[in-house]
Amino acid sequence: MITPRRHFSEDVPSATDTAIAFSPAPPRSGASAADVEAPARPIVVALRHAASGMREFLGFLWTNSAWVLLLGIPYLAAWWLPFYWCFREDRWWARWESAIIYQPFVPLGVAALAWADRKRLSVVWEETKYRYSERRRGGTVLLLVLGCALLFGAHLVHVAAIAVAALILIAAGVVLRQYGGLVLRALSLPLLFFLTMLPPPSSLVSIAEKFFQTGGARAVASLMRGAATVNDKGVPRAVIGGSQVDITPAINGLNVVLLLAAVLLFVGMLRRMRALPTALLMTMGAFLGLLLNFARVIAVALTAGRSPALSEFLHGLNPLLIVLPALLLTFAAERRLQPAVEWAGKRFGGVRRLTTRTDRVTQHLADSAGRTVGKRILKAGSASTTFTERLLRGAERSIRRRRRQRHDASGSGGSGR
Amino acid sequence: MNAPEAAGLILSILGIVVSLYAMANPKRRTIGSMALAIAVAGLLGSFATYRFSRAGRWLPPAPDDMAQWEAKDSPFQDYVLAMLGGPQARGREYRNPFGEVVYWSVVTAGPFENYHDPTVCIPDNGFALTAKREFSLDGPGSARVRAMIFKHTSGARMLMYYWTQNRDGSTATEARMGNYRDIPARFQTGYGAVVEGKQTVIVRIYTVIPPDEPDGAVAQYNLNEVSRATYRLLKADGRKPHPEDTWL
Repeated sequence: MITPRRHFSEDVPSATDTAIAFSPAPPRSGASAADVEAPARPIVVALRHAASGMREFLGFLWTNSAWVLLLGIPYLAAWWLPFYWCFREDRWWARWESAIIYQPFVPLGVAALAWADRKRLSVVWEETKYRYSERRRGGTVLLLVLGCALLFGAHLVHVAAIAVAALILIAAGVVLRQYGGLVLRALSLPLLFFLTMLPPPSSLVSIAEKFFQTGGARAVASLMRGAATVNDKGVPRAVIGGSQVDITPAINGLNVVLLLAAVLLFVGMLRRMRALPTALLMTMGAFLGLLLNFARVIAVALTAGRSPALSEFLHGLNPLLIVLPALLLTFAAERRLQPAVEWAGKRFGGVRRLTTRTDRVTQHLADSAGRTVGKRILKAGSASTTFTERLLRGAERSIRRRRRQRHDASGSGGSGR
Repeated sequence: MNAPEAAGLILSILGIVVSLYAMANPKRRTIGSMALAIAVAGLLGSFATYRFSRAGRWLPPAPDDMAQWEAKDSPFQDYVLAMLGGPQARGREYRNPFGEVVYWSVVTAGPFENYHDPTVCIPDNGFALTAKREFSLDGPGSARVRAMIFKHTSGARMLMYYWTQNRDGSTATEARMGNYRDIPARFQTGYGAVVEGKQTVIVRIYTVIPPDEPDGAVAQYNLNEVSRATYRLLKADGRKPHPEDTWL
């Protein structure tokens, strides 16, 4: 098992338990109807829950401020230049029309995932403390050193993806060194989510953008019984009636799809959903997001002649204004579809078997990958420790030999005199 | 020093100070040593960025004393410089008595934005790469340069020589764009600029092949003449001390 999920989740109050703790107390038997407080709405409960969580988080930061400052300042310093490359030089993280605009928000998701799992993590940490002595608790420093070396290498070649990979390695290395392998494994979900921050190769992004541009033009044209062409610069264009719209990277919908996929992956991880339902949720969200984006493109085309200002506004619409309704629609559709999926799962063994099999395969892959990486790290760590020890012993031996020779020489010199 | 690396430097130094302070306390020695390693990695990153900008501080002169060739300055347009990340640059046009023109440009190679490879940038403007060859410009075993022929949609052909030259006279011809295929060449440049402190310029010299000259022999002769003079001048200038040279 990669994570002792069931074992630890039994000790931890669930989200519903916490919600119950925040809901108002039941009315006393003698109280009148006017005295009875109306039950709080779910949104109010959620807001109270969020406020209490935030208060608790700030309290945690305050009580651990020395630790946070100590690791936070160097880690921020290491992040500064890679962040500058992505934000200012390449402008991947500074333009809303960029395909990977979700990436600067990933650290917030990582922190939220780790925070949501804090009780289980503290249980794992207690177990580590119980199992191992203080000396044997911490893991190898190799991962951290490797991350630091890779970061310097990333500065030499000036590639942001390598720098971000190095910074994720550094974070994992700090956890491994300070808390050991068990806690690192327990943190695998936030660290996996952290990997979504790796900027993909720009050639891959441009291929995906072209695919979405061409596909978008064809889809909109076939939805509205128009035609898909290209303009004189080779940009795909949808012609609807007398209007036409160029499908530029700003409105091709790739940023909407990736933003939705990242948010829904986060939701799936937060809810500790299985791999297949998470993938289904992400697909549904991406599909709804694309549909809403097609609606935007059609609106841009239809308003281009009558109201150019409105068309311009729709063209430059912030993707969040498409992502938010798409998310709400996805959650509503999920709620509606859940009973049907459960019914289908009971009725058709194939669905259940598929889910179980996917879950098993995912778990097996994660487990074997974790074991292999862990073994390699341990082996390399012990080899490096042995090498250093031998080196030190060798150096000590040669120093002793020299001292002895000097001593002998001075002794014989003295006798000669 | 520019603002980004200055900010990185300040943050890293702060990190080093904080971690050293923490290491004084035996209880926090482990965390302090980890923080120190991260801060040193950040500091090395800022240092690397500074060294890259230092690598682009050598701007050699253009050859002036070529017999039969008349030189005219043709400065870079602002948008081109902005696209290249704002390097120092020189542009010239050399004209011979027959009215044949050779276009000459030298751009300082600081950050990787400056390395716009002609095979990637020129085809966007209606040109197609039709031939590419590497050869030694100044005799066997000397400076390697890359020769390319681009054909425009209108039918016109352009012959271009491209190379990067360090102050010690060594040259390179590999592309250094942002894709993963170019990482070994980028590492070579990064190591040269950051660790060895090499200062580099990017040279592009080109001419139009006249339509009545299918083998382009005259265009090649002209380009060889200007390119050889440039290579020799750059090599000589690189060895001279410059007032703007710094020890770090």
